[in-house]
Amino acid sequence: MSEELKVRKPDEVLDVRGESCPVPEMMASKKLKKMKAGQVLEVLTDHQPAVDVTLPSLCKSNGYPYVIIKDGDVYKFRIMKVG
Amino acid sequence: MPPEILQPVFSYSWPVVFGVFALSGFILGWTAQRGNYCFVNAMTSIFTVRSFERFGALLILFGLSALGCGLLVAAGVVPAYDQYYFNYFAGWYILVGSFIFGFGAALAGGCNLSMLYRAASGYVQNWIELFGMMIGTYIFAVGIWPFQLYTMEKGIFSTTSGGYVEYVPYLLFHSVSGTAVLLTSLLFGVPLISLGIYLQRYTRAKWSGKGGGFTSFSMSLNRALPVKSFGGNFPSPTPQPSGGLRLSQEVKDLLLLRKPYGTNLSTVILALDMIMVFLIGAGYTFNYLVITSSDGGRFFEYILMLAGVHLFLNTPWFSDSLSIVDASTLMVVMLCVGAFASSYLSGDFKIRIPREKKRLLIGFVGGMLVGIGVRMALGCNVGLMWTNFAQLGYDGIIFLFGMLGGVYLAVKVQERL
Amino acid sequence: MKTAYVRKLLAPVVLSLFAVGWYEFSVIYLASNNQLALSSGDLAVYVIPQQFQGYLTATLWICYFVVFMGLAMFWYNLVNIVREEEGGRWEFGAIDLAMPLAIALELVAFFYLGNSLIGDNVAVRLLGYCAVLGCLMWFWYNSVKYVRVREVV
Repeated sequence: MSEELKVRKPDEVLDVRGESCPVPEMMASKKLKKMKAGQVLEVLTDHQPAVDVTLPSLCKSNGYPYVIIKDGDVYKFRIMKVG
Repeated sequence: MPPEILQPVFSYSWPVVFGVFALSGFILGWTAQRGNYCFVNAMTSIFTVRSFERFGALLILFGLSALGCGLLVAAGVVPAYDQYYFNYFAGWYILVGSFIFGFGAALAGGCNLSMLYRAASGYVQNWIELFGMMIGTYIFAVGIWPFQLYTMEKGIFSTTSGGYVEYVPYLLFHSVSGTAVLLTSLLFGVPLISLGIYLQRYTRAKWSGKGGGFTSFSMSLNRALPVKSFGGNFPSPTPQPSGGLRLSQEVKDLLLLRKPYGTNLSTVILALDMIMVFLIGAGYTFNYLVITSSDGGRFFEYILMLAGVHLFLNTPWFSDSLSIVDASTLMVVMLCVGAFASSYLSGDFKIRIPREKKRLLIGFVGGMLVGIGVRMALGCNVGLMWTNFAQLGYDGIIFLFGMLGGVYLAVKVQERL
Repeated sequence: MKTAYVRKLLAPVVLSLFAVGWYEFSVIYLASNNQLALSSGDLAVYVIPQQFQGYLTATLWICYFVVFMGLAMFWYNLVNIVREEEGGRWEFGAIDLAMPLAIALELVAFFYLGNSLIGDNVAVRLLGYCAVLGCLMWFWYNSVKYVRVREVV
């Protein structure tokens, strides 16, 4: 699952660079609700607490798998929506 | 009737009192930044991700502060009047104000505390929010304050005085004796701390029981860092030290700013900070932690002073509620310095501008609502809610529910924006 | 030059300037506005002289502290940036030599500026002398090491 998430092209991208909590997880939650099961959302963020705490919480709460990819100053937080 | 005289409990010179408030602000800014302590986030996470971990920490914070300050009074170290002297009026405005505040803060992306420490960490969104708050304070001063003052004076859905009238030991036992304060502080502290711990455990238990088959990891694209695996289960919302990790290593990492502070460590430091100010400031000034609720207005006044405009001469609220300087001025300035120092030294400091420009407008509008809300409620999430738990009053409880309502509405509105 | 370097070097200097600016603002604007509040009979705004003086004294101390902290951060980052530019191969150089002197100078300036506040407090002064002497000994040690490293190269 995680290998697939790592290499697969995301279906939707949410750019919340420059935003702080609670915006990243609120926007991601909103976006995920509109997506179909099996699709992948990539959240771009430079807010460390979102990567450490709030986005993982969102995934755990819904049971969605995720991977975190660090690209310079930016994190790519990929979430797969599952049914 | 209990006495209503404010006299210094311990003798220091004024520079020491101001210095201690400045130090407490520095500690507050540093700790909140390292622990990413945000009251609004603690509440939004209840509605967005069903996590009570941070909200539980807030309850523990309120409980520890009430217990610590209450025990100091019960033991006779600080007289009771120093605890209730600054208890404000209670009324409709606290509920309405906290609701508006919660709504605005969740929209803008930060409560009064996180707005300041994030502004000092380079978040432009929070600079805009701070500016919006200044404007909101002015709108409140000229548009709402005269009406609110009228209802306060006439007792329309409002008490007509603060002080011991709002002091829960007095309300329950008609006494401000050590025993009454002890019983009340236990009544506040024990349930709040127990509920906080229960909510945190409940959330952690929920996380560990869910998603057993998934594996999460992090990797670096441009650096050949090893792939980190969290194992079969999802970790706790706040990273927990694994059993094998030695405590000394953990402490070293925290001291060298390699790792953020855990939620509960931040909670304990913040509660101790509150108790320190309560003890040292007793009899001198407002002896609690207080954030920009009034200083947002004060800084607006300062900016206009540079242009030769003097709001304190004839503008409502500015002319009757705000001294030129007080201990909170230095506290807020040093909060920003402390937050800047910790974000800078940990390598987190960076000027961050939101990609979506409409977020700046939302930040400004949210900031204005924050300004109006905190002034209506007579204080912010720190200066009124947290402080009032330490004061053993009941305004904090009203604020807590009002703010929860506002945050809930903002989460729903945000989904449609 | 990388933008990150500018940010790292500029931010502490801005912090130090902010501290000086805040103190100056307090002395010039707040003091005169406090008098204006008194003369216009606005006692809810006016702050009594002892309290206002206490604020100014505390602000002056804080100003020294923050300026000191800002300069220390600036220096620390300058060293790190030079190290990074040298590709991490750089082990001992001129900055190691200059560092103790810079810190000693900062300490001297700190104590010089704080003279009026410290007064005749012997304990604080002794602490200051020890710190400056410590820096000078550190400088001497680094000088010897610097010469040896150069000889080996």
